[in-house]
Amino acid sequence: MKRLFFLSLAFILAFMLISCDSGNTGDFKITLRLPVDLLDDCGDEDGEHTFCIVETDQVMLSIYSKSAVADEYVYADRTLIKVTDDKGGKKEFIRSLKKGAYYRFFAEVTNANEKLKLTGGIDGILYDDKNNYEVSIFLAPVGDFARVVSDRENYDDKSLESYVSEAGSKGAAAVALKDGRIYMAGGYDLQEDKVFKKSAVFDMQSLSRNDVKDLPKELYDHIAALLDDGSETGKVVVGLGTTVDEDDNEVLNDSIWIYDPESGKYGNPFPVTAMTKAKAITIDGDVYIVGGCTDSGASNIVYKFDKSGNAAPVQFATLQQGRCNHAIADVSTVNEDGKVIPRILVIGGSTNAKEGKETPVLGENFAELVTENGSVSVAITDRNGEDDAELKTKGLISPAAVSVLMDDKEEDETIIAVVGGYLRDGEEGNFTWVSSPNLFVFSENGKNAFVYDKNGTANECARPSAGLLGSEEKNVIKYVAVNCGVKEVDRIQQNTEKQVVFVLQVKRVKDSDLGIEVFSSSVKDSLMEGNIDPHSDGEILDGPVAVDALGQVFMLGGMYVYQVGSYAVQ
Amino acid sequence: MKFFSKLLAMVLIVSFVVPAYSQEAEDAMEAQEVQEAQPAAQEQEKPSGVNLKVGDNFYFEGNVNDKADDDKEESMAETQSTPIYKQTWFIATIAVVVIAGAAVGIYYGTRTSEPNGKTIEWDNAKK
Repeated sequence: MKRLFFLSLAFILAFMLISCDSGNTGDFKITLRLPVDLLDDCGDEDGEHTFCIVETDQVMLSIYSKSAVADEYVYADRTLIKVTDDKGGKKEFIRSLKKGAYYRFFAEVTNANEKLKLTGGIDGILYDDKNNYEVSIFLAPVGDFARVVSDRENYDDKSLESYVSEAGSKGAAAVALKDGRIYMAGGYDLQEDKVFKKSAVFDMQSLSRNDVKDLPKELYDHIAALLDDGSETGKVVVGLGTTVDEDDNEVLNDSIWIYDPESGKYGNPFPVTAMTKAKAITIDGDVYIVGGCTDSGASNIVYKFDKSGNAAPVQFATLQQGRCNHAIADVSTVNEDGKVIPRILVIGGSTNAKEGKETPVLGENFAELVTENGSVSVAITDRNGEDDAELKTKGLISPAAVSVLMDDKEEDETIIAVVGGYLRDGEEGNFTWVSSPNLFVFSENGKNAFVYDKNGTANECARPSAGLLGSEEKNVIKYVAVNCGVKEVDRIQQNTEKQVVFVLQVKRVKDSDLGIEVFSSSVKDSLMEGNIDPHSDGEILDGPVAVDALGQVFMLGGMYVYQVGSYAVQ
Repeated sequence: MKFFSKLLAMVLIVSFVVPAYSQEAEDAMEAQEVQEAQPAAQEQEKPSGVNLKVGDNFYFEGNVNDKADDDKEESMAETQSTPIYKQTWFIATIAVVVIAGAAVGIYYGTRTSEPNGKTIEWDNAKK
């Protein structure tokens, strides 16, 4: 009898041990967050259900992993979930994740016709089976934009808000960190009529904003770019721009800092010539700062911050023409050894920063190509060898330029989509400033020569920002997301408008007149009438974009954060 | 940690179940040996009237023919004294229940983490 008693006791003990130990750690819960149902047809049987996941849909969750920060993500697993309930769903997506590995998740929702309608992803999750994880993936309409919300039913309270008020801002800067978070800093506060000193990090896993340490100075029209120093987040090179002195007068800033997202601190300033409206770009982990306007004119210096450490910037090249308010694009190449050869295309801009009194860069110096060997002016023509758009005579100030890799042919080709900006209209001494009605696509056409294709658009943006949206490999169409800002050139509060976001379709087409293949750029139809958020009263003059490693583009500068849904992982 | 806990649980279960089963087998073997030994003894002791009955349980019975009718029932009651927890069928049943219980426990113990382990979910009801 005793034996039986102890046997039962052991059994109970063993069961308790097993039960207590299981399920306490290592859990990983992903919650898909849906956008606001703008079409209000989620409950309608005949509706398109664009903003919902319904019974005829499928959810594909792709998992990528890497074992070290410096590695590239590789495809790990994929789960296809057939939706069986209009209300919601829950599914186990994988049995185990590897401790110490970094994970990326990308969710795609397709409808009954296998049309991709919603996508979203998260990045940089270091998995440890001693912890539990609860992360959100916000799903945005593919090739369209949506306000990021954690609860669409209560979107007024549960939207991802920036530190900008309803009145909007101008001249803020933003960049996506390596772990998928978004850093935003500075800008001009149109509500308080003063320059922001704030900086914030948006956590896209929890869909929340964390206000971090203030900028060392109030800043707008400054630069911000990611320095990939090999850390989990990377660092942010931030600085230059316009600040205020002790008497509250606007002055140019002569400092550049490195912000460390892990410690939340700004490093010691690197002093350079005081300037504003410079442009910065990340190439192969290094940061290049091109031009900028000084008190007396424009800088022709190209600085380089090396990714290897916190060393002071070095002069990388000298522009043929000093300029600010220009556009830059990465047209780098890779040599046979796999080494990236940095090349930067510089387009337009002005030689002084005084708004309304700018002097556009014209003539043969309209565009330059910066390389390790220096900078050279490049020939810019249309397909007929002329300059139909009069870029070299009217100039183009403050456009946005985005490099697009066309991989639909045997040989890859990098083209540059150029959108917005403003230019002189009229004769010298009697002209007005108008925003550009054209969309351009520049493509390389021989040594130090670029040719452009031009398309008209009704979506005019005086000071846009743009980013490349993730799209499927070998697809003949690529997409560029644009944070338009306003059409009016005068950058005054009276001209603020609701935030306009749209997506460009860039593709290769056959020109029947010329009998050759050219590139076209056009604005994709949006589900949002007028390309605005109908539920927001938030306004803006202009704002930055941030593109994460998955190819999702985030629109900032207004009251809310907007996400443009990518077609595929970048 | 989880693995070692499960391993410990398995060892505990096996360490108790196997000896119990071994004891059960031992008891059965002993009973069989007794059974095998009894016919010979029975043959030798036949004149004294010892008789072996085979039923649900083994038990010895004196030479009932030598007893008075009133004593026969009392004699049988005295000899049928094997406790239930020593019965083969009972031990076998307990062993099966414990093993099955452990198996179910381990199965559900390890499985409970999975539905909440790595899951993706969405709530479409929120418009």
